[in-house]
Amino acid sequence: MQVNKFLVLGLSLLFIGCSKSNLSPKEMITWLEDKENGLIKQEIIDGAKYTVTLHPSQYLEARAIIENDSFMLANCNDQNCSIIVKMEPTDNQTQFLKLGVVQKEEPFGRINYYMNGFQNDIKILNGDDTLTVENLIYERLYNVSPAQLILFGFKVKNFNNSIKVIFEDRAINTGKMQFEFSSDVLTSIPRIKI
Amino acid sequence: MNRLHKNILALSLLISLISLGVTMKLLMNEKKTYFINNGKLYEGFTLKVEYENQLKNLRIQRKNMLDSVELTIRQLSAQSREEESKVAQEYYFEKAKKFEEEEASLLDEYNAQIWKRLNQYAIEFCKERNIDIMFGANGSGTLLHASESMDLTNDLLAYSNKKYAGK
Repeated sequence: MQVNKFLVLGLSLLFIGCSKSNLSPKEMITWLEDKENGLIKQEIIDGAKYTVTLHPSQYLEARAIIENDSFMLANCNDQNCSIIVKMEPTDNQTQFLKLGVVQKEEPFGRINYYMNGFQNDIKILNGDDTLTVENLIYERLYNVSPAQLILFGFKVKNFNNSIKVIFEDRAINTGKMQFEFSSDVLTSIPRIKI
Repeated sequence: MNRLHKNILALSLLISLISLGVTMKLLMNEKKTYFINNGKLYEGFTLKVEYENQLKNLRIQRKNMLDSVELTIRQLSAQSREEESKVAQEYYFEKAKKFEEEEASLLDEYNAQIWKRLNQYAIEFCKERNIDIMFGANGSGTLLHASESMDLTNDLLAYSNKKYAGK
């Protein structure tokens, strides 16, 4: 009997150790923003750096709790995810919109593209399913930072399948870029401790 | 052991230590040099294969279009409608020239995109593996000989395709 008790205790400890940990909202934000955890991917093409960050529903939930935003908290849905694409120059000096421009008016054309055309060049795959891009926002940081941001959301169908974000920046003429978040990464995201 | 023997032993020990130090220094300063086969890397890169397929489809579409114009020209000629046939011929040559120019410019654009990507992946690959110098052999005589053990084409190709796939 004594041996059985120890066996049950050992197995329970093993189960707790292997299951997803629960983190406080602040810890959750830190965890999600840690590159090592696989939710941040990067691609550099000819002086332009694209950093793609996947924010799962836990991120919004954590933010809502920290900011005490009951409206945001009430609207949190497990399936909701968002992507932030940070576009910046590798030299950290040149304004991203002016990267490699030849004509003066080119940056305005780029702004127009990011606001209206970029959405058509994004594709999100969840396993074999193609997901719809919702609420794309282009955040122009003017001259505060050389970077530019694009945010968009989507609803994940199955977290056991990987999420692949594919896009092409026609303003810079990068060609197709792909960023894959594997199912191992997606299923390892901790829960929020409330 | 007399004093002379002791001195000889101490001297030989000192010489051994110095030579060990020099060897270590030389080993540490040794530059890691490798090469890759540019052609093989380019041919095997997924983005290149994708673009090649896109171009193939575009060529087929355009060829079908030109073929149907050609057929129209033949029919018009057979019906002795010379004026219309001449207009159709002009249209055919104009389109064929435009397609050719567009294809050449698209090919240049695709090649530039492919090499930009491969150059960046090569930089990251060398950084990860602490490689100091990597030559690109393209068969033009820049690199006349290198031992096979220095060929990292397959490794860089696998790395590039993995990076391109976003993994």
